[in-house]
Amino acid sequence: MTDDFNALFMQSTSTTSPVIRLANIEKVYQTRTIETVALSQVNLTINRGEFVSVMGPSGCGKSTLLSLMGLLDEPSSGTIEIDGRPVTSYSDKELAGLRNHKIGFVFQSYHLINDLSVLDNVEMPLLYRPSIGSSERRRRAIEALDKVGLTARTKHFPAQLSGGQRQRVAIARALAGEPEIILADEPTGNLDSVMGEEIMELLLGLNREQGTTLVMVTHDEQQALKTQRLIRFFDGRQVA
Amino acid sequence: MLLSYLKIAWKVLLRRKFFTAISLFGISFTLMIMLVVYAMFDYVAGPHRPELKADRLLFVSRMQLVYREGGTSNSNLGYDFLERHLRTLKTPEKVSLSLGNFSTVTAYVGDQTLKLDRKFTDGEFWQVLDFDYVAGRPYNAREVRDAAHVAVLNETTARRYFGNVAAAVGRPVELDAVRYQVVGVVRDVSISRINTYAEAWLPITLSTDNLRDPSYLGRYQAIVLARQAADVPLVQQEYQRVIDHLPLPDPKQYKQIRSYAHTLLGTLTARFNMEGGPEGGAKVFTRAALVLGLLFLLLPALNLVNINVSRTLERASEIGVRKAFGATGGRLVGQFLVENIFLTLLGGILGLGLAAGALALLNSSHFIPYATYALNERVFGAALVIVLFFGILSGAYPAYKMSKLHPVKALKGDAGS
Amino acid sequence: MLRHLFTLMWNRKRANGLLILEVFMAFVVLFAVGSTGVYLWRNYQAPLGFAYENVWQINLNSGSQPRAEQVATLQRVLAKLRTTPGVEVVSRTEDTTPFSYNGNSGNITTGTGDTQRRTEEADFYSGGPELREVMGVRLVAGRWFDRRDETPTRRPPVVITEATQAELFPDGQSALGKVIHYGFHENQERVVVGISGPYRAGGELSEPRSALFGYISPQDTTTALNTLLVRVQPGTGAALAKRLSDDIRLTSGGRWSSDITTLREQRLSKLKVLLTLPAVLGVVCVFLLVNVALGLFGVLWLNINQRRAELGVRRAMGATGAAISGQVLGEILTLTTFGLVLGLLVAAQFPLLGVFNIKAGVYLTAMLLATLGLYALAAGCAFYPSRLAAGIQPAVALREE
Repeated sequence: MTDDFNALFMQSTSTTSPVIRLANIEKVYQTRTIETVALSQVNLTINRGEFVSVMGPSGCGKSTLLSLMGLLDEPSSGTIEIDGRPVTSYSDKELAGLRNHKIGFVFQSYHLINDLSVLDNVEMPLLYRPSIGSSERRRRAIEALDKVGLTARTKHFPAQLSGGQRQRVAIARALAGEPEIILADEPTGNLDSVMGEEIMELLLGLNREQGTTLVMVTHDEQQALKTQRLIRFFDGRQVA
Repeated sequence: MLLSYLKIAWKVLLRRKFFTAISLFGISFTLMIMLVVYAMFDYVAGPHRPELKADRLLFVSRMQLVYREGGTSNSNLGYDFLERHLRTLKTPEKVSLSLGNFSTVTAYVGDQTLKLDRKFTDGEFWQVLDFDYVAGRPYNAREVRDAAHVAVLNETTARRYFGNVAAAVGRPVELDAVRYQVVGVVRDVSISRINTYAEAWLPITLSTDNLRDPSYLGRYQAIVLARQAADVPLVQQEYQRVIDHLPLPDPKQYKQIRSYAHTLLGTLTARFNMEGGPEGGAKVFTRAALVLGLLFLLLPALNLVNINVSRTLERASEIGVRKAFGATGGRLVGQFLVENIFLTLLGGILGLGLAAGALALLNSSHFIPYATYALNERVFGAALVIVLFFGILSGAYPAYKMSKLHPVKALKGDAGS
Repeated sequence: MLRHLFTLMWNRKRANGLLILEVFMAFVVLFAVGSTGVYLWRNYQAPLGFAYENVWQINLNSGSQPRAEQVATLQRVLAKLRTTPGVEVVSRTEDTTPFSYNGNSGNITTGTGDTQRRTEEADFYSGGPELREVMGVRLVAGRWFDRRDETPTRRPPVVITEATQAELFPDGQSALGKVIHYGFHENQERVVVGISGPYRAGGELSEPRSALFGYISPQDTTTALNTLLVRVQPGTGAALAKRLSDDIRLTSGGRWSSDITTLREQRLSKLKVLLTLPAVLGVVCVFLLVNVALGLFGVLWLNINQRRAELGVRRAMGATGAAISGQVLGEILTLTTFGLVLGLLVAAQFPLLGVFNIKAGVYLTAMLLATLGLYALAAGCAFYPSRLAAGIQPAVALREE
């Protein structure tokens, strides 16, 4: 299975090729009584190696957009292509594999598992790759923690860390699988400005040095301006 | 305050019907099993006919001779011994002598064989005990003295032998080819009333045993009725003095005689534990029963605790709000305990219903001959005690956990683990 | 993955402590029921060694007749019964009859000093020359009691079962002609004249163990005066019983009475008594296990609801639905294993200490059954919650906070 995935994902790596393409996306949430339009008429292309930030007021559909790009959710209509292939053609199992190999997530509230140590948390995505043995897993997790500067904290538990440290663990977790794309949903939203700055520097460095493609939802204009491209959303529509 | 707690409790129960059902199932079945066991125990050792005045009755049914070289000889007592030492006691109101056990006799009705349990008794037997007469009368002291061939039958036997109960009185019944005239028919006595049970009662003078045999050990027992419940210890002490002054039957062979006037429960437990002393090991039995009951309660209680803890975490935000508005830990503990006791009380009512059903089923199965188990006020009392105990046992830990929840975390829904 | 689960559950041991305790107690309950069940089932599987159909037991009550006269009366009664049509064979015996509650047991020994061998607790029965025919006991070697044994100068004969022979002579030599000692008359030498098949008068549920038959001579005037075993022709019933009872009374001049029961009735009545407690235990345990199962199910369900975010993250990190449900299942099985290890530690004490003198095999089988049962219970309870967990939509679960 892993070989298939390698053949599937390790395609051309020219810097201008689109990694994610959204076409005519519409997303409607249906409850028993009301229909809420979260996204409408979204056309968007993310190219390899880009750092894109997404801005907009609360409830404008930013998080929904990120869920769709992360293959956590399906659009009501329209197509999502990853590496030029529409995701509707993937089975549920293949989608899980795509998320595991290609995409890394960073959340505003970290979503670390409290009962696991820092190292165990970072190893977690690799557990879903049967081909990786435990020593290799350990090595990669420590490498990822090294990138965020937390190798001294491997035995700690999330509750023993500050907010900034927790977010760095979460980023290390996203990096452990060596994904091509990192999707970050307000990664600095729960942090003070100094810590937020640190995290921002970390993400910029990843983009610059590793060529990781980044899509970040943020409320912070200053941070957004540091990225290569800024997309604004309002009421489920792309406005800039 | 209590009312508002109960309102919330009711709403919580309705909100999660599945969990309410699980909890109620556990509570009610646990209670049912305990109540059935207690009702059976009460039926054996509580005040029921014929031992209706159980609080005034004492039973002298066993004697133990202790050998010098160790070992003991246990048996019922000799008739002559009882006649000389029990009949002469000053403190009791009345003393009755009867066969300690029952023996089997055969009667033939057409081509059917009836095996009947027979007990020999004296005339006082019917005065000391409260039998329920369906027809006729008991035999009296004169008939016993004259060794009259008379018999009292239980209802079922009278019906099987004569076809109907009313026709039995005055007619002859043939047991082991000897004819007796039926003078009375009493309601069935269950075999679990081991001291008084029989299907046919006959005058003790008809026994083929040699009643003048002076041996201490024999096949007989005495049932003693004290004047009032408070006199019971006096009777026990008087009998103890008799035993203390009794000469050993063979001083070379034996070193001690033990025999006690036991209460109803004591006489039952003493069958298994002759070392039990004057109270017959009843206390040991009660303690052991309590420990076993507690062990049995533990698993269902633990189960309820686990469900409760999980649900407490689910209700974290409610607790957070209460704390934010100033509820103290103690108050939350109170609220939760009230809720849990309310739940267990509901389970208790269901459990009583289930127990009544189970007992009715047991009665109709005739699994234990002539048993008519039923709920009574003592069983209700036991149910209430068990329910309250269970409610507190299973509510205390979750309540403690609830009160320890941090309000901020609770409000954020991060109950932690 | 397994280590991940162990780490996760180990780190959650405080939160799951009560759950582990519950699993532990459920194991203890399963083990108790399993042991009882396996013990009874093994006993039930062993051959009974005799045929109880058409055999009646007669208890004689000689009333106040002096002992000296009783023997003569008994001889008259026996002669009368043996000539009664419908009666096939009559044997005197002691009160250790099949399915009765009476027993006589102890150790059997052979040899002296260093070479002495001794059986475990064994059952002692006794009977006359006719007992083998009455009960249909199988003879493996040697002979049953007969006229040769009536010579008073001989050492008393005895018939032992195969199991006794195997226990006394483990090297496989025949016990025939060997001298043994047993019971109260420990100094009395007895000669083995026959080897029989098994004989378990205690009934199907009694533990199979070594046994022997002592000899009751027709001239014996001290023992076995009150109990007879009678094989009757098939199809005879109450009429014959009444006739026998009348004959006994008339032959004894009206002084004796008798109580006749069929072994079939005795067997049912004993089965009822012996099975009541295990049945009650079984019902109570089924209830306890259903209770535990429902509770476990409820706790797991609530647990899944509280862990939606965590499971969502796992989905986002690339776990498939099957991997998630596998994880939930794995977690509960890991938890079960913790409780199980505790339970096995306790259960292991039973065979180690030889509690109740029951064979270790019974306990080991019960431990295996209880382990399988517990895993099945846990897996059954986790099945639906694990499906629920697999169905969690990561996008929804992650947005909830």
